[in-house]
Amino acid sequence: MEKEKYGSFLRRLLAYLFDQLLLFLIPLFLLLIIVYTCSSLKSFWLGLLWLLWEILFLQQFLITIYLILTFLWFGGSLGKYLAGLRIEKEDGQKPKLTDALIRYLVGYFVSGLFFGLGFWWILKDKKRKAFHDHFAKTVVVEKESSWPLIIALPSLIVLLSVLIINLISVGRDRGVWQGAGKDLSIFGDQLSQIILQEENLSPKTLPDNKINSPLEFR
Amino acid sequence: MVDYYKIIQRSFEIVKKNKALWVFGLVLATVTSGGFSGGGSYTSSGKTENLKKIFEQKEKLPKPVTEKLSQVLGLATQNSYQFLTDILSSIPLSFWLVLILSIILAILFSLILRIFLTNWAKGALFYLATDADKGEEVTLEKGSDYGRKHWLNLFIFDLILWASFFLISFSILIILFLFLLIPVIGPFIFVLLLVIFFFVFTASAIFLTVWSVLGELMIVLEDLTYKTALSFSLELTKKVFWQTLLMGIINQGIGCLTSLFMGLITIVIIMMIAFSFIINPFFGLGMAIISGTTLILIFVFSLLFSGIIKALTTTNWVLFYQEIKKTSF
Repeated sequence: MEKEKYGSFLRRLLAYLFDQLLLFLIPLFLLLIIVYTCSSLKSFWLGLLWLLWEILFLQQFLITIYLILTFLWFGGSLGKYLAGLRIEKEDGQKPKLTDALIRYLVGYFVSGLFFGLGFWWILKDKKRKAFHDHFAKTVVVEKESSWPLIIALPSLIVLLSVLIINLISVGRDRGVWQGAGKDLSIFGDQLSQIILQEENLSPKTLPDNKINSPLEFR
Repeated sequence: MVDYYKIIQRSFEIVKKNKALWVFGLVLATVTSGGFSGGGSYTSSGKTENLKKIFEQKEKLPKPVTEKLSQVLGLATQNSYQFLTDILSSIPLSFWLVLILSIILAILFSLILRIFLTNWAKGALFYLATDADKGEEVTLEKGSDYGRKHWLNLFIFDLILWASFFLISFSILIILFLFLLIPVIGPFIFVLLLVIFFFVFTASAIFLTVWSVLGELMIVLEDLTYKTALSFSLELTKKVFWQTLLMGIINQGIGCLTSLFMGLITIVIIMMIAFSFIINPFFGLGMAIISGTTLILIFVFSLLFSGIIKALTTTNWVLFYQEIKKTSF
């Protein structure tokens, strides 16, 4: 197969960007729900805590499941599908779960080492394979035109922008941002007071090694 | 007699030529490079100490000052801590349970992934080094295949070996502590036996390390299961223990020398910056920018460098094994 038939770095990058933005919709929607439905600042902060948990734990799990399942069922994620790319096994066989696990769990980790060298390797490789493609014996091929992605990606960016603007305005109208800002400044003041208290009251040693309270002069 | 110099020379040629080995070496260096940072910074522990002294001092001061102290500071302090405890207590129990469960699952997942990556990379390196020595093509695909094939056997082999060792050692220690119950002579016997135990423990650990290395090599290069490898490698260890120990010392020496070298370069650069500042602050600033950039690059490349060293030492083992195979099998 000619080098031109293999998925180019740019196409793969745009497909990856689309997938990341698509999955970013989940925490964004959750934040919208929190801002719309919170009845008090306390419930807002609680919702934010759940959102933080979602971003740190659940989101990573969802991304992994999404990539593995789309690879097994459709030959690639939605971003790759819209970009006209398909992930195929080099021997032509149907990919198995172990291939998916090697490609995404092991392969992505290794590709990410040393400034993502494994991902940049696509530019150098004859078959435009990243390290994770080598490990899983897969290759990304261009099957169709990438026009759907060229339309879908800006649309997704516009959708995200609209949601973010909506989020900011609803939050402002409900007084969420103002209240949260006040809470944060109070919290910051309290913390800095604790720090200042500790610094002011730390015992200072006199030349003759006696501990002197800074308040004795009163 | 094993020609160690020839082994190191040949390993160097193999690793220099075959970059695929660097990738697996980098993986092994990353996942086996220590890793858990100590909990709690010096700053935070220092602050806790100051807090303790504050409360101790409060008791020693005369009453009126103490009262003034609470008036001035107690209220604000109380509010700060009350504020924090208010926040923490308002978080429902369900969140804490979900968070703890998530952390446990994340740790378990990381552990499993780490075990797989370590043994997968080891298996890949052993096999690819053999191929490279024969002059065959060395590819990431081949390495990955062999790593996948042997990782479980490698893991179970090491687990059986070391788990048994630590279980037996722990049991012996408990028995030794029972000697303390014997009146009068018990503690003397305990100390004597403890000293003997220490030497036996160290010698056994060294023997087990050699056994482990040879077993891993046999699993990958002879395509053995962990069960077969346990007995075969034990026989081999008895025959070639001292040669293998020397090879291990040489490999450790290579690792230590490179770490020392990197450390020395870092110290020299830091000293250059310090002296430059003493001579002239502006000159020092310029030096700091150049040297700082160099330091960052060194830090970044040190991981790649340690990966290459890992590939080199693993290739040493493979070539060593091939040498002893000629004479001992």
